[in-house]
Amino acid sequence: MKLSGHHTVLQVIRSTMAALLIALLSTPATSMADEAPDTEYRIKAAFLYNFSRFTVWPEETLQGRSEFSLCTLGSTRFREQLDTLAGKTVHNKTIVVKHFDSMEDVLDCQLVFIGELDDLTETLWTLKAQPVLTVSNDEGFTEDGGIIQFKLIDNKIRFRINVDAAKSSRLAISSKLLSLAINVTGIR
Amino acid sequence: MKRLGNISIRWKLTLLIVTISSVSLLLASIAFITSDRINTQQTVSNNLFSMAEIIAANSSAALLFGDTVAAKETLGLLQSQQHIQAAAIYGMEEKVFASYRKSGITIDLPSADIQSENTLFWGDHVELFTHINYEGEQIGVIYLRSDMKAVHDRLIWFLGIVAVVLLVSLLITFILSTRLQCLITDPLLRLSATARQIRVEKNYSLRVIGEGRDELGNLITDFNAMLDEIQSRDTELSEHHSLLEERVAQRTRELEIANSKLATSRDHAESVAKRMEHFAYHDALTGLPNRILLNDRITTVLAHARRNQGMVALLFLDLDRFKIINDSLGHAVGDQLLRVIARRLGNCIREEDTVARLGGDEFMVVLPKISGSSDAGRISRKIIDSLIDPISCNGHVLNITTSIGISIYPYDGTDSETLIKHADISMYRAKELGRNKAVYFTAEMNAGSRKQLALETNLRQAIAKDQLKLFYQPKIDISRNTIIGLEALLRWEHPTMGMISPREFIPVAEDSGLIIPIGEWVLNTAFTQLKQWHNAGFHDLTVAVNLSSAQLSRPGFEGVVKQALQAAGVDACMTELEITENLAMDNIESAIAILEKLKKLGISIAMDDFGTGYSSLSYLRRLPVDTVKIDQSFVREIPGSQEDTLIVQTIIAMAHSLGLSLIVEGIENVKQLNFFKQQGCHIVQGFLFSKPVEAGEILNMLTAQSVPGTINLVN
Repeated sequence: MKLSGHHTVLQVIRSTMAALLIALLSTPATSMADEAPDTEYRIKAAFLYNFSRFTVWPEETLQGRSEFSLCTLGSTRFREQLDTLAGKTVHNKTIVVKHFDSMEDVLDCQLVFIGELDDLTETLWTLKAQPVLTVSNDEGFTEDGGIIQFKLIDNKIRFRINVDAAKSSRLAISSKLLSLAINVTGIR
Repeated sequence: MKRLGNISIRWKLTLLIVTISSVSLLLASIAFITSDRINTQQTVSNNLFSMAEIIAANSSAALLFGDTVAAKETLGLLQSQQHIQAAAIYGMEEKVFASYRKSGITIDLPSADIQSENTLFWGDHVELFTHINYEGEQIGVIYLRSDMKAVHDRLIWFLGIVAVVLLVSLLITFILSTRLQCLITDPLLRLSATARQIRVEKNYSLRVIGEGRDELGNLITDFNAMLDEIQSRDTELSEHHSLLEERVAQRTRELEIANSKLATSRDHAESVAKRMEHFAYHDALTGLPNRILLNDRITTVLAHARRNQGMVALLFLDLDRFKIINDSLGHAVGDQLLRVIARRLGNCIREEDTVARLGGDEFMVVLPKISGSSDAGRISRKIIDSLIDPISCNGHVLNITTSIGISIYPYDGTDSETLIKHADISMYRAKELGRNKAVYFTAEMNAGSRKQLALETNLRQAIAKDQLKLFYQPKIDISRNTIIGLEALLRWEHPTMGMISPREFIPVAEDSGLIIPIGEWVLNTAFTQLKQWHNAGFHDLTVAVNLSSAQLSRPGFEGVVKQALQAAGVDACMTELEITENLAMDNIESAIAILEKLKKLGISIAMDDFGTGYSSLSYLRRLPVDTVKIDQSFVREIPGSQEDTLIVQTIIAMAHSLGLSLIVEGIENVKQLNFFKQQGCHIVQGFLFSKPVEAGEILNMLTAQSVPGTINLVN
């Protein structure tokens, strides 16, 4: 961690190997180099997992299911980082990781990480009443009706939460999670 | 512990109770404090755990999302808990995720062990490690460190309370025990006090007051019962005692009556023993010191004079012509005369001087403090003058004078024997010079008194010229009116000087050694005479011979006696030897030895003149004497003289108690005879029956009495 604190962004970019090594040595949560996508997404994957743990889905949504679908929509930089979550359990369900490009496909997911998407607004509108926890890097995501948005602050991954959006999706977000959010907003 | 032994049982009990209660209280307090400490630690541990749980719950999200700021905020809540010194949250990598230190506390956080979950109590602080879980999954470890101030404060508080409780309960215990121990000690103390009182007052009627049916009650009951027993025994004992005392008193009264019977006319009834002791050292007739006491005085006085270079004078007195008075007017007049003279002599001398009666008409005056010879002369003159006044006795008016011989220590001798001899010689010189004079001893006299010399010369011739004769005085058994024996008495019939008394010539014989042949002659003559009487048919007769001290002290004397017995052919058991008290006392040990030898031969021993010398009971008891002769000087005034009667009764009682037989001398009249008859004395001698007579006359008497019931009473 000390090592990473002293390195410049350029140095890390010039040597992928070094960056990887550093990432491996680094501890997962407290800080990271945002220039290292691997590490960033590994942490974000952990965040996604934790988000699902601090969120309660409507009873009927998870009833009768054996799987918890953690999905990506559109182009994301998640690769194998997400796959490490597969097989873990949340709310007594086994996590299944799925990658989709079509908006219709994610309706059955419980958590969707939305990547670069052309029709973000439409998608969000579609998912607005669905018990799907939406997460994205996109600036203004929560203002647009998304529920949780990642935000890098001082090289640390933080997040914002739109409580109203969660409510309209009938999702109950734990106050503990809320207390960690840098910004909690209601719908505009 | 030793010192505790001396304190009262009261305090011992109190001490016991207080000690036990303090120990139990102390133990209880220790248990209480220990239990409380364990509880407190448990509580502290629980509190810490609860706190950790809260922190864990509130920091789990922060830990999961790596939000150290949020975690620190959560830990920051511990500021309100003053006792928390430090806290930390560790991630699963065992690295500190967030930490908290109370301001002012600088301690290193321990390295976390993810697995462990425990509470550690150190001396001054306590540490807790516990897991942070989320949904059943461990996500980290929380560490809390708390000080023990609360625990310590609580401990101190409890100690204070315990101390106060302990003190208060000790006080209460003390007060209670001092009250309660009375239950035990009061009866004991009552018991003890009563026992002591009984010991001090000897009052066995005291009882211990006490009730109760416990052991102490029983003890008191038993103690009282014991006292009852003692008291009843005491009473019994005192009854016996008083009975005994009564009997003793009765006996004493009887004795007193008996005593007062013995000495009714006397103002003071002196005890017999004291009287006998007095007899031992005093002349019975005059009450003056006797020869023994005189010798003692002279020895003492000379020893004193020797030390102080003093002078001592001895005056030897012999009354002039006393014998004439005695013979013509009788013993009674002579004795009375001697008493008066003794009194007058006593008036002539100072307190420190001594007058003693040597016997007969001889006196001795000892002047221990004279400043010169002339003092002795002056006293002598005074004595001679004191006799100038005539003395009236029994109607006779008598003029008596004395001759005095003076010897002075240290000029005329340095020992008592020499001094007495020289005084005696001087006295004879005074007689020669015409009597009624005092004469100092001079060196010329030392050659020997003329009289003694003359006597000695004559005595030698007397043996050769057959001038010595034996007279015999019969001993009568008055119960049978029979002559049972004879006392042989020596007489010297000088052709020109007439009869010379043995008293005069025996001392000369002793001094010159003539006593030995004379003594042998007496023994042989007496025994031979006895044989003749035996041959004449009077087989039961015994003969008694007087011995002198010179004979007795001569070695082999018993051989002489034995030879005389054999020569005469008489049985030893028919013979008796008479000794005088003084003779026996001169050398008591050798006297006892020789007398024992004589007794072994079968000869019996009689003590002559008993009571006139110093025969105390103890002396008499040691001598192997068979018979005591009561001296005629005591007999003479019986039964007229109460004093003589008392003396004689005493002698008789003493002889009886010693198992000695008695012979009474000098029976002169029927009154005397009857008196001694009453006293149980059967063997007598005296003029009433016969004066000493020659052997031929004895045979006549024996022949005469061979007709029973008749005895020839002379006088």
